[in-house]
Amino acid sequence: MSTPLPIIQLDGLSKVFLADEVETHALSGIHLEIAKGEYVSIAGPSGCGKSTLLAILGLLDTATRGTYALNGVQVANLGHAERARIRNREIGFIFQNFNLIGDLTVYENVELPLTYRGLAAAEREERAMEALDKVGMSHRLRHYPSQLSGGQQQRVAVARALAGRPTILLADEPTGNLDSKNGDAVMDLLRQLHRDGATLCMVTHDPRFARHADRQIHLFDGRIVDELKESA
Amino acid sequence: MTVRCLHVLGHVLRPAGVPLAWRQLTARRLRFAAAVAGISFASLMMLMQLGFRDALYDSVVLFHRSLKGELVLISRQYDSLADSRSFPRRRLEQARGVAGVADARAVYLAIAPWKNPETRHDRTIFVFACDAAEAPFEVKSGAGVRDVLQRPDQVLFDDASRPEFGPVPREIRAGRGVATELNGLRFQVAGLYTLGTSFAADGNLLMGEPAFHRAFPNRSPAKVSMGVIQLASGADVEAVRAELVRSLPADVDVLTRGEMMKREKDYWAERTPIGFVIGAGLIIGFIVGAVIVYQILYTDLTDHLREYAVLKATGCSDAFLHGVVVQQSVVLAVTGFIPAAAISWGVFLATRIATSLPAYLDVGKSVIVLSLTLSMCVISGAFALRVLRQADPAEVF
Ligand SMILES: Nc1ncnc2c1ncn2[C@@H]1O[C@H](COP(=O)(O)OP(=O)(O)OP(=O)(O)O)[C@@H](O)[C@H]1O
Ligand SMILES: [Mg+2]
Repeated sequence: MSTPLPIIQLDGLSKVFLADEVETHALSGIHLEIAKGEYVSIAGPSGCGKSTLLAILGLLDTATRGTYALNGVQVANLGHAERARIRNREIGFIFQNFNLIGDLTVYENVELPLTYRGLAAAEREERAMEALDKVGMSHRLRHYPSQLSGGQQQRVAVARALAGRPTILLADEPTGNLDSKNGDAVMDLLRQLHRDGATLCMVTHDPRFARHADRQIHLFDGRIVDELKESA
Repeated sequence: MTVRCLHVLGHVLRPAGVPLAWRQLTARRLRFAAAVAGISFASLMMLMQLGFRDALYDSVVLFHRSLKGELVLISRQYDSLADSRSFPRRRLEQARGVAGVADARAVYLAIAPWKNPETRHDRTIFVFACDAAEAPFEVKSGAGVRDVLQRPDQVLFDDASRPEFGPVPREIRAGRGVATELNGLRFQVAGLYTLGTSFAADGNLLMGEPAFHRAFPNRSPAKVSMGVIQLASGADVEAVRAELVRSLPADVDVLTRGEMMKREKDYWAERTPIGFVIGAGLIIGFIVGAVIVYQILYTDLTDHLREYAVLKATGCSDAFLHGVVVQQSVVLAVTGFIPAAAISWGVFLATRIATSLPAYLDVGKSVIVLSLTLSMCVISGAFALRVLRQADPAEVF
């Protein structure tokens, strides 16, 4: 691998949840760098803080302590609107339960995030079609999510994440709600995207899929306990 | 705040690539239909209230509108046309002496029982009278008005009067004479004229001084109900009025015709419960509609909370989301208003036919009620969208 500048840089990052006077240390002293073009997988037992880490990486939540630089920019001091703008432009989200908008078609689901970025109609269409092509869903443009299989829905969700041409894709157990055949297909798709140059950070329980990654990170009780580099 | 509003407005006006607002609103057909029906009902209620208010106000000043004079003398105690009180006839002579006054003419007003010539039932009718020469107000009539006004036993009958007063217009048009009792005395209907009915008077008669004094023997000939003042050409209304106020005793008021009309409308708006009832009707319509819209949008937003959280996660701004809700409010308002306008048009038509009250669906009312409906929907939308705060993007993973 070349010596790329890190897209993501976490230093001593901690997250404490306070609920009913009970402190939960979801993350403690996380150091993590993710370089451009890297494929990182995160694994660990339930409740170890995987989703919390992803939410912070995705600017959906904020850290209690420590620093987080995205593309060299410290995100701690960004305002609400600026964080939303960065989420829209720099980050592609892929969720365990797809989270498509039920009342919108496949095409509209992919186009919507481009709309509130203010892109012109022609550009929106080009990007949406390109993304749907990549995931092999361009033959189902007028379908509604309820008319698709889980695997197809997740591929549309991947297209939605891709259409914004984000700096990094964040996926939280993207195959968690899929049978093994559909799960394999989605994982192959992510692998292909990585080969084409995408940066990926994915939470997965499945060691088979974790091995797709350049690096496997193991979390336990909010700490990184093991980091495994695949010999690429 | 203003910047924020403009921002939201921008999103509303921008031709959105994705009709999210419309889809989410119409996806549940029954709920959408119920919402539109509710809003229609509220709009219709407001249209009816305004329609009847305008009809009321227009009808009570029909006579004032017909006055042939710029200024009017009335008693200090004058309340409304139906409760006018009288003042000394001498004030008219005094007014004629004021510079700029060409003429000052008497009008007599009274209410009296009229016997339906067919059923023989008494019903209260409104009586207008003037001196014999020429009426100081417009009289729409084909009959020889001047002759009738000089006769002590003849009257003209308003053909817009309610049918309860008897089939007088039909008989007259058929060339048959109609004779019946007014205030217990026999009178001959010599012809028809047209004024129009109001909430206060649903039947009218016109007669001359001789007939009036015969019908109302206890009304002193030295007292009149109203003085209509015609100005000399080139005279300044305000200057003449000032001079009249200065030179006449304080038992009369001098009003312009416009002020007379306003006074009559104010009387009905403020001194009777009608204004209050109509205002309350408007407010109730507004509130009913607002509650319906709030309920519908709140339920709709709550149902889609997870989707909104996902939208927020993917970087959608609050302004965009608010824009979606505002669009939904506007869609609801417009789709609700259209059937309401159509129905009210029909109801007003039926009202005109049944009561001859001047109830119309005009542009002014439409604009007012559409604006009320829009603000009702948008205000409710603004309250409903507070539920969006519960859509937490941090919880989508
Ligand atoms: N909003 C919250 N308020 C309080 N505690 C929370 C909150 N979110 C997460 N936690 C706690 O933080 C810890 C980490 O949760 P997280 O969801 O990151 O785990 P996870 O590794 O994703 O687990 P899983 O594999 O089950 O998805 C858990 O103990 C959880 O209960
Ligand atoms: Mg999780």
